[in-house]
Amino acid sequence: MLRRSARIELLRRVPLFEHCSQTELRRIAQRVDELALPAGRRLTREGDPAREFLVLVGGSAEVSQRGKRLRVLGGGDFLGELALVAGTPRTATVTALTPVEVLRLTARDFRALMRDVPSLQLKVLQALASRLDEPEFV
Amino acid sequence: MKTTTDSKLDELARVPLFAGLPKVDLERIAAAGDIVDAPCGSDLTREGRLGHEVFVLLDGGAAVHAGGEVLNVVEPGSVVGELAVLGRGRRTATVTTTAPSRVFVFAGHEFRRIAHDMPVLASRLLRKVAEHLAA
Repeated sequence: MLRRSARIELLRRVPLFEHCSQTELRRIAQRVDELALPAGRRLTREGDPAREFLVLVGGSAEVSQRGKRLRVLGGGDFLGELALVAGTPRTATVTALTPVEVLRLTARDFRALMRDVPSLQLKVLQALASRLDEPEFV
Repeated sequence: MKTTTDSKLDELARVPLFAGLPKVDLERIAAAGDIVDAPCGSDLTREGRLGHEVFVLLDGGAAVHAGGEVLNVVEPGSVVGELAVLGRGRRTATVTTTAPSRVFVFAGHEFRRIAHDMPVLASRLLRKVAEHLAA
């Protein structure tokens, strides 16, 4: 487990959080867990209930739907927000392609953070809107 | 007597995206765009083109087409064109009016600034986009 100050530095390098103030970063650091997971581990499974929001800080992971690869995620990408915001089951399966480091927020903490740090809502919104214009396969 | 500005505010207050916003926020939104008449058959957006405006249909009607198929019908009070403005700039569908319409038109950069400054708006848009993507 990283010390609080190291966790804040880690958060500051994640594009989603780059414009957050020190106070906001402290608030986020209190809520996130860090996880190190092996290659092959499923981070989300299509159709499962949505319980967490994940930010990939190291390694890469594959997003697939009905067995088809949609895209590959790398450091700084985040996942899980779509089902949490829309209140639906997971829309895709995400599998670690390499050992990955992730920051995890529970659904409840994710909602609290969206409320407490409003600038994050717009960043998540912009990321979702950009996703509509991506090629189907990468 | 109601002024033109008051009636513009009244119309915007009836749009679900802006429902319940304080008058000061509605005034800022009203100042950021113009109401225009769009004859039947006007393309508000064109699939694949770059788009720099967001449209709020106040009266009339429109249809959403993509890949030659009608995807959706747009009713008064709906917002269209926000995905390109918030995302990578390219229109994901063509939206064409199906009746003489009145449309509130936002410049994209103003829309982004307002969404940034009004968290309730960002939150409603986030839910709308997420529901659209999850559908």
